[in-house]
Amino acid sequence: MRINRLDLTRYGKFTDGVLDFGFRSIGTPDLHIIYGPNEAGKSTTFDAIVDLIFGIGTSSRYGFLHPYQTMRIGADINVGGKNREFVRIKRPQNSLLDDQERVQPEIDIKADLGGIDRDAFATMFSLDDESLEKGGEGILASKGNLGELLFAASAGLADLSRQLTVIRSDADTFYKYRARSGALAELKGRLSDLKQQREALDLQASEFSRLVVERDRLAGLYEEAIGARAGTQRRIEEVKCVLNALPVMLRRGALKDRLAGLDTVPQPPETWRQELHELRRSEVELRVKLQDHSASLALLETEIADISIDPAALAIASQVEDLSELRARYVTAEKDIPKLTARASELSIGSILAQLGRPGETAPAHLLLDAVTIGSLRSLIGSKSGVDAKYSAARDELLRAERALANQEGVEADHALTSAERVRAIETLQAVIKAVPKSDQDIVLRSLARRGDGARASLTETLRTLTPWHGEVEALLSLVPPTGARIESWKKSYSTLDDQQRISRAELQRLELEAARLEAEITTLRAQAGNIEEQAAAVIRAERDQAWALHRQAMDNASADVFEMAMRRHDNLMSQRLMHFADIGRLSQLNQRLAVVAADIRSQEKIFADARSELDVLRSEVRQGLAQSESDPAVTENPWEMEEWLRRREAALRARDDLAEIEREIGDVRDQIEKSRRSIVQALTGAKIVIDRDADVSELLSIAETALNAFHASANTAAQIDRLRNDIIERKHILEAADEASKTWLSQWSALCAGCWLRDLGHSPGVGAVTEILTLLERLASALDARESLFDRIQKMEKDKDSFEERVLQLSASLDLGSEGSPIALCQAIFERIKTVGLDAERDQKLKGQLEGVRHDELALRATQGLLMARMREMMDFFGVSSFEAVEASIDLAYRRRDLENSILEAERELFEMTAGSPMVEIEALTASADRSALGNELAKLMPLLDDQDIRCRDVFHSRSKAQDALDAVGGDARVASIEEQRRTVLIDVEESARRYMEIRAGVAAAEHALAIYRDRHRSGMMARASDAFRTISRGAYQGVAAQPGKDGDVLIAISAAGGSKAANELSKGARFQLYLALRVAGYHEFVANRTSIPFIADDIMETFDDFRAEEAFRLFSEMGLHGQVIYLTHHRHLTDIARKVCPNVRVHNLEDLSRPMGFQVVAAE
Amino acid sequence: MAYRFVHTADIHLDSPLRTLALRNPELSDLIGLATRRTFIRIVDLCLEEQVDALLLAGDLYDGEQTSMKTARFLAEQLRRLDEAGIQTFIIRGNHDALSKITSELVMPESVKIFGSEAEAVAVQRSAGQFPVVIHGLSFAKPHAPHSLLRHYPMPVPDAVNIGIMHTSLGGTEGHDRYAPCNVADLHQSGFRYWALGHIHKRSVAEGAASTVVMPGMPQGRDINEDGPKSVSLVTIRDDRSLIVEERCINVAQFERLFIDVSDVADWKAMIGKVSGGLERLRSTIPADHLVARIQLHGSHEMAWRIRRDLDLIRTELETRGSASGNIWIDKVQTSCIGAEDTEGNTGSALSELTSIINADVLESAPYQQEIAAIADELRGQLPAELRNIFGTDEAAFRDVLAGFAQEGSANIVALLRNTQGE
Repeated sequence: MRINRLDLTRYGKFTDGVLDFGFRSIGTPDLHIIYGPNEAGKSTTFDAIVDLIFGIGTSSRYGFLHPYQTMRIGADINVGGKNREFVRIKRPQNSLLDDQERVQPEIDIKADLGGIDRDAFATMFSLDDESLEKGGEGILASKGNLGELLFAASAGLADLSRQLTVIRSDADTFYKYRARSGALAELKGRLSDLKQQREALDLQASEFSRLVVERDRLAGLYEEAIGARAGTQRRIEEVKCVLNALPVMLRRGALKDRLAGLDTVPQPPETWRQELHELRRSEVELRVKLQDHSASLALLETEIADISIDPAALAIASQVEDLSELRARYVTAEKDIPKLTARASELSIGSILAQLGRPGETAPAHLLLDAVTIGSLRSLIGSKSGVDAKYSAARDELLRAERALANQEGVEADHALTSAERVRAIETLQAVIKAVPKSDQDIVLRSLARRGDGARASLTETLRTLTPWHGEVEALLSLVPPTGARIESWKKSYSTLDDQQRISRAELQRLELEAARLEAEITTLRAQAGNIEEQAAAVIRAERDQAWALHRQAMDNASADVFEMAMRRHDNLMSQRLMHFADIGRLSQLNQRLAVVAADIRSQEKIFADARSELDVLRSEVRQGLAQSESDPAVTENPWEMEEWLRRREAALRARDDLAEIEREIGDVRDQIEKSRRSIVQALTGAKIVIDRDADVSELLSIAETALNAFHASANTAAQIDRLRNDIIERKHILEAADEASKTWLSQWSALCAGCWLRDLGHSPGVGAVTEILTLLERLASALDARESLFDRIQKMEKDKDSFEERVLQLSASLDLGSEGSPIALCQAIFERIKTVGLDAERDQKLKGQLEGVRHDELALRATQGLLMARMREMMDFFGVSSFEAVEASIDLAYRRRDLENSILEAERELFEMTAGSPMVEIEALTASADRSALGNELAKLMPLLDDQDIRCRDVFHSRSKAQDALDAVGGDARVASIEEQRRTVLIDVEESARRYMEIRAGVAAAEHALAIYRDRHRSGMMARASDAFRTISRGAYQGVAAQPGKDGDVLIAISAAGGSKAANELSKGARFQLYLALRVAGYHEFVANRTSIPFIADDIMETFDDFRAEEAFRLFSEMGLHGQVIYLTHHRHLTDIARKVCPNVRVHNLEDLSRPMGFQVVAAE
Repeated sequence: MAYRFVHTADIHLDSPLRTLALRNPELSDLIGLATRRTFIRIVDLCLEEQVDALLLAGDLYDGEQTSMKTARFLAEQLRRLDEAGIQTFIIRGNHDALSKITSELVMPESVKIFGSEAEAVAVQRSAGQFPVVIHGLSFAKPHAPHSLLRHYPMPVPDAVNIGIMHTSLGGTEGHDRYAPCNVADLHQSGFRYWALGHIHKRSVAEGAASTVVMPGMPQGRDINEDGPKSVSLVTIRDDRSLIVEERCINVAQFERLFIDVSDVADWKAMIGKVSGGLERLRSTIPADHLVARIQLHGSHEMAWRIRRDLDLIRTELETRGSASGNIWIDKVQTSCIGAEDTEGNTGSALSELTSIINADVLESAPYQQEIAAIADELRGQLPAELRNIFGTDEAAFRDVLAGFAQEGSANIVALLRNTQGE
């Protein structure tokens, strides 16, 4: 693979940069130096090469100038034996194109790489400061291990062994020889843990059957122990039973003896003892109670007999209520009658009558008036003042109107003035005056006259501007002016022709000057060179030819001479012409020019003349433009002036129009004035007003106004008098009406007064008197009412008093109290009597009730006593006794017998229970034969035996339960299975891990074996090359390198010039760099020896090299260049010189030129 | 009235699942003890379907299974059937031929365990129903080289005869020969139904008068027992016609998934393709859980990366699988080859190294000696159960080692590429 050309079309800082490496020159090193100062783009160039081959990375840092979408690298590359064009753009897929933009498979560009990927390419075929340094360190780190060093240098797999170690250590985490820890050990630990857990939980089938047998054996034993214990227990019970029964038997015997000693009586019912006691107590109680009741009865009867009741008082007791009410009214009357009498006398009826003027009136009630009369009187009194007021007001108004008329009567109106005819004339006059314009017509006229003068002056002025034209304004109108378009056309033609003329003139001047100059030059030249012009030559040549022809004919001396002369002249001319060869050319040039100029002058003159004649035609046309008589002087020849003149003409015509307008207005105004005057005169005459017919308008107007004022004044006066007369007539009507109303009122009043006692006053009383009388009558009426009511009350009270006294007397008589004393005292005595009789009756009734109750109680007690006695008799019959005491004794005896019988039964029941239900006969037999002390001994022996048997039972039971529990504990749960499953999983894990371990170990071992073989294969060739390279670059300081067996395989040693050896890791830093470089060079050779070459790129690795070493380094590169393309990037200019020295045909490319648009120059070293 | 029963065999109760997937404790909770869970489901099925009997045709548990807890569990489950009035008929197989735990156990009344003498048990049937006779025989030794058919009594005339037998039939790969006999003989034996056991894969042979059913195991235990697993639900109708229904009740199903990665664009697409394959597979199986072994093949330039990052693939798939529901990864394997390898690329040092390994190292005696030594050393350290994983004889040992060398060197190259190439 070789890069023939690299196009940095759009990449990083480059735009359309081209690095042309040219084609491979056979036989010379293919070495290129790319020079560029810092920042010129060396690294960019390097990365571009890599990106071209492997694609532009997704986050390339070279998109700063050209965005990602536009990035583009191109190249002409020799790959697979062919030169091909490639283009790389930036996109995820199909980013490799050819120069026709067709997508190319990636493999095409990588065909020679043999599967080397991007990083491997970078490490294997490039070298920079950093990698050099790293390589040097690698040498130090490898301690000179030969295989590693060589391998690292050739393939860049510097740390393969280390990687293998790392991988191997991964396997070691599972298991390592003699290591205690590790995954395997851990897993084994888990296995044994699980096993233990399982054993703790599980019960195997064989163990299970053993447990079953054991359980059954224990069950048998338990049965036996239980049986023995039960026997012992039973015997103990028996003995205890007998021992306990003995004392009870004795007690029973004693009780039976006592029972036999008592008499036999019938057994009374159980309750009798208690009942007997009750009966005796009741008997005593009843007896006492009966005695008590007899005493009470006697006492009550005596008391009742002692009470006596007053019958008379009792009869009137019901009247007490009435009497007390009557008494209350009596008391009130006594108190009120005097008071009321006094008040009646106080009423002032007498004085009222006196005021009315009828003191003797016996029946004052007759004086009172009925409601109709009073209402009518009041109404009339109310209307009296209104009637009076109306009357007086009407009278006053009438008087005032009559006075006003009397005042006017003196001024008599001029009735002639007010005739209808005259009024019409006056109205006409008034209308005419109103219609006459009030503005001052004179002022208008004056103003118009002034404007007319101005217009005339302006017309004259404009006419003057029209010179040379003379004439009346009207003549102007008859002129027919040319159209605007026509003038425009004239203007255009005129200016064109004018320009033409001016240009031609200027051109002519210039050409004439030129002609003069040329002629002067020709003259001068001719003067200098003589007549050497072609024409002259042609003449002489013709002469010569003629002479020759003559000579040919003649062939004599003369002709020969002539010919000779002609020949000589010709030769002279020829030599002259030769000598002035340049002048001849110049002269003919000048002649040519002159001829041209002369032609130009002629043509210009023609143009000038044409223009002038055309202009003349135009001018005459303009002159004729105004259609007017020939006699008139021409206005102008110039179209612009013509235009201006026409404008002035327009102005003159406008001035004329203005003047005519003003004169018409003046005429109008004068007409108007005359018309007004005529109508005024007519109106005045109509109104019969004497006037001077020649008076002017203003005079006429003032006369008319005076006449109008006089007319209006007299008309007003006449109207006023008419109004007053009408007024008086109206007032008189009103006064009559008021008088009528007054009279009507008076008749009504008199009729009313006559209808009542007021007539008795003798005359019709006045309004004021009647008003007063009415007031007094009201007071009289109320006083009469009050007196009547008082008299009524007094009468009623007197009646009450009488009825009380009468009643008291009546009652006292019935009670035999006599009639002595005041009615009040008597009344009190009566009340006392009635009260006493009430109390007595009440007490009597109460005592009788008590007596009845006592008698009822006594009856009940006697019945109870009867029942009691019957029961007692029954008891005495039961026992066959006759006294109560005997009954009591019999009952006591019966109870004692029963108690003894009960005690015997109790003892027997005790025995029955002790012996668990044995019949009495057996018990008697048993106790009869029992030996108490023997039995006690037996019991003492049995007790400890029972205890022992108890313990035995418990023990056996416990064992049997345990065996059963153990069996029951075997549940069907999944714990064991689960543990087993975990154990299985761990085992699989171990198995899987073991396989993996084996795979890693086998793989690592295979790689190690392969590595050893690989190194062996490549070693000798590389050693030789590395040795050479090292010698070269160290400038002979070292002879080379050699392998020496060491502890962990061969070790690389450097052999110095003196033959001394030095381990690679002991070399100085500089020497280590050189050694590494040598190894890399060897690696490159090794690579290209077997495969197609690949470009090798080095980036300024000679920073630390002196010039000599740099030279040697270039020598190495140059050697590499024989096998493949070597590109060295540098910013040291002096290195190019060194390189040239070593390798004369090195090609230097300057990156700075690359950025110029003109492109890139290849400077060959030749 | 129809006679119905459930027929199963080779339950291998409490025999653990063998998969690395169980290292995940979550999964262990879900599918651990799968044989137990499946047995419970079988009993549930009997109860749900209200069958008349459960037929267990041998290999209830492994011979090494000696925990009484297993037996107790069995008894508990059979007691459930007993309580529901369902009979159980058990014969022993090669694995549980000598099992002590059955004999030690007190079984409910309704459980019939056939002894080493063939027996015919007439089923209690109501009057007017066709009689059913069940024949069984438990061979007392783990090996039965000859057919047991002749030991069975003659079928009872007029009755429906059902035979229970543990047999390898003609012999099947992966199973020992045990009581061999052929289906034709069984068809002609006069039995209406043969309830067989021993072969872990289901097969049904319908004859004119006889149906022979090998139900397969109800729950696979490792990747070699992959595929669907089921039991048979058999109904004998009044006209003595017979219906065999297959019922899948396994808790977890093992499956292999082969994925060709040749056409995937990138890593993500590859994971997607595998994941999609898993999803599709998952949707086709009725079991609650899928335990899959994924085998990647084909050629792809990522082959070395796939090889290097198998554990990453596994983790990724595990995450996706558990997220999408009950998909578990047994193992991920690759046999992919790199695309460039196929093009005979020999450019880089690494490829030269690779070719040296393949051409010169793997077959060389010193190398083989070295790895044999490594294997011997390791074998000494392994637990006793695993001493045989490298083969039991010399030839097998060599084969195993050759495999390690092949895989191992491929892995190493992949790893080296990793550091060199990226």
